[in-house]
Amino acid sequence: MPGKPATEFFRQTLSAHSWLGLVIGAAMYLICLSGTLIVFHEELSRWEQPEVEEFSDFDPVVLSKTFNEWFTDDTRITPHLWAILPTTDLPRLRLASETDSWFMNADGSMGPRERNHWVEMLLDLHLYLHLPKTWGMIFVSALGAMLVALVISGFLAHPKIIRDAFKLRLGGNRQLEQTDIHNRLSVWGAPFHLMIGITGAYFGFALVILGVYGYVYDNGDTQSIVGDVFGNEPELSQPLGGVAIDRALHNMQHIAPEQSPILITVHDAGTEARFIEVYATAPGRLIYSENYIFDADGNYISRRGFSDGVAGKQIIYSFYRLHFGRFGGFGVKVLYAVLGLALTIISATGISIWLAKRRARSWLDDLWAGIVWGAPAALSVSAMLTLAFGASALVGFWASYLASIGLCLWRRNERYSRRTLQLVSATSIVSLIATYTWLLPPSAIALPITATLLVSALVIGAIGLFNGRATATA
Amino acid sequence: MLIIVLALLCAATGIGLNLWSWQGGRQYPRTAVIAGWLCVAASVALWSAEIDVEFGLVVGLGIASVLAWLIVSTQLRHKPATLRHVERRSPSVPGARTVGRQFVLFVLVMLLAGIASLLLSMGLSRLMPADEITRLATVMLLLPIVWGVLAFVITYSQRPGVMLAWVSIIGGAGFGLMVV
Repeated sequence: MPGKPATEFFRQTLSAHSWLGLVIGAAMYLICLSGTLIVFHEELSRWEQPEVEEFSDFDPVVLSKTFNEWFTDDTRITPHLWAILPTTDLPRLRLASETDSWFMNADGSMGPRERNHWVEMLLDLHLYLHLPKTWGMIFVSALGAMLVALVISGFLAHPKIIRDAFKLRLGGNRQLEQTDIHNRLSVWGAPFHLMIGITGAYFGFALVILGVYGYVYDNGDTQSIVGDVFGNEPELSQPLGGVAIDRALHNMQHIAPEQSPILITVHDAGTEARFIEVYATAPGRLIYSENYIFDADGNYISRRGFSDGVAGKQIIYSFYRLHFGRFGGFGVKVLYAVLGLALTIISATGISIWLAKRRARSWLDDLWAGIVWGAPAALSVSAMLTLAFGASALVGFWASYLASIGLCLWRRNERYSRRTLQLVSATSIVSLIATYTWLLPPSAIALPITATLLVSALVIGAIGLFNGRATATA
Repeated sequence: MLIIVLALLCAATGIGLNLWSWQGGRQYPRTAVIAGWLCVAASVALWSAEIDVEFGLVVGLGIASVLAWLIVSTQLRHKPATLRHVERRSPSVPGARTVGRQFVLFVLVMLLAGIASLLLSMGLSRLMPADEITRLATVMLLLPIVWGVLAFVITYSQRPGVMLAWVSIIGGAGFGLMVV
């Protein structure tokens, strides 16, 4: 690099930025779009299954009794069992095994089986891009590192990025317009984008790193380092029987009265070695939880030390909440959604700039119009098909997404295709609202989500109509 | 509540000062820019005082970003879209050599740079005077950063052969640090 003229440096850096963006652009766009929506995972889960009973307070004795009765059935018991406790965001109580999940009512009776097919599809799109899980997560996490590369190269490639920090020119030349949107959103959102990239890489590579660590430093014993970080299991031998979840929760009030239990795991269920782990949120902390270990009778044994252990332990256990915005209440979720939407727009405009720079139009323009505007249409169509007909959300999404892309390639007019898909998206969101209101029972969460969907439909529809009138540039 | 209002005001003032300085070009002193960034930092500190350091840092920086976008939107200049006829033609089909070169670059960036970054991050973490778990956390933080930098350098260079050598050296150095 030294010795090269500055302009050559910027040209080549921009070329590197473009290469990285082009290679991962479509995947990054889908991950960012689904990530923005998945910020509201709890709310969307409630919306998808509104018939479930909601409550914040529950009787631990009732929970313990129901848990033990429900999991005496050999067909339901698995080595790990969970009781997911009600929280402000998700005021529902759920009992889960490694293969299934059911809601529990406040009186101890069992409610419906969990069936958040559409939300799960959305979550899988964000976490794995619907690829096989292990490789999908590694690939998505690698894109976290590529996001870091894009932030670095983006800053280095634009010598005027700070000087132009407040410039926003819409209309006029399409390339200039897209560049201004891309650069303004990028430069001011850079701290968030870096954080998302770094924490995103963690999920796929944590196990890889732990594996290499164990292999190199513990003679191939990865369990040792995993135990050091996440805690070892107590060695117990107790008479066979149930688990005293109520006593464990009662003891929690004395051990950590300021913390709120959110999750209970029963390890080695159905064996003499079974024990209870209670996850409790620590106020003001980004760590997922502090975890407390109890024996089958609910006697306190130890805690994991995520809240006050060594710095590394606290850092590792903070990645989840930091990445997904699961802290600080609904306001933080809205903030993450705004910042996530900005990153989605950056992903879309990045490739649009590259396309606009070319001297010709081609099927690539059509393809990109389909990838960008087909996604919201496919998401709403798949939600509608899942709710109305119980269709597979995965098939619904990909079938409508590929159909949208196919339509764009067939039409060979990206402006027309873009506008069509924007109007289709708006119409399908309105249809989704109608389907939902018609088919599903009213619930507390339905109104705010319906209102948000309606606003989204209006905004996308307005873009479509505006786009139609201002057809203009290539 | 008062602290939150103050934090918002600080952030808005900070970005506003930057905007003012930007509008004035060279006429305005650099101190305005420094004061602007100090205001943003004060805003983050106020958020931290209100909702604890960990939440405050994330929320403070996030709010500053959103406020900046709002302030940028006040500078919006809108022009009617310009009509430009652009010819439609198929993109040129790259030759086998170009495709091969791009594939090698992809493997270098997505795979080999990842392995080299992992080794280098683990090697560098050994130099830290810290406990094992904190070193591990450092690897998890360093890996995407080192990988990102390497990916950029590789794509900047566009010389797969040279970069392959460099990535091997970096990976080897990392491994050396790990086992020493």
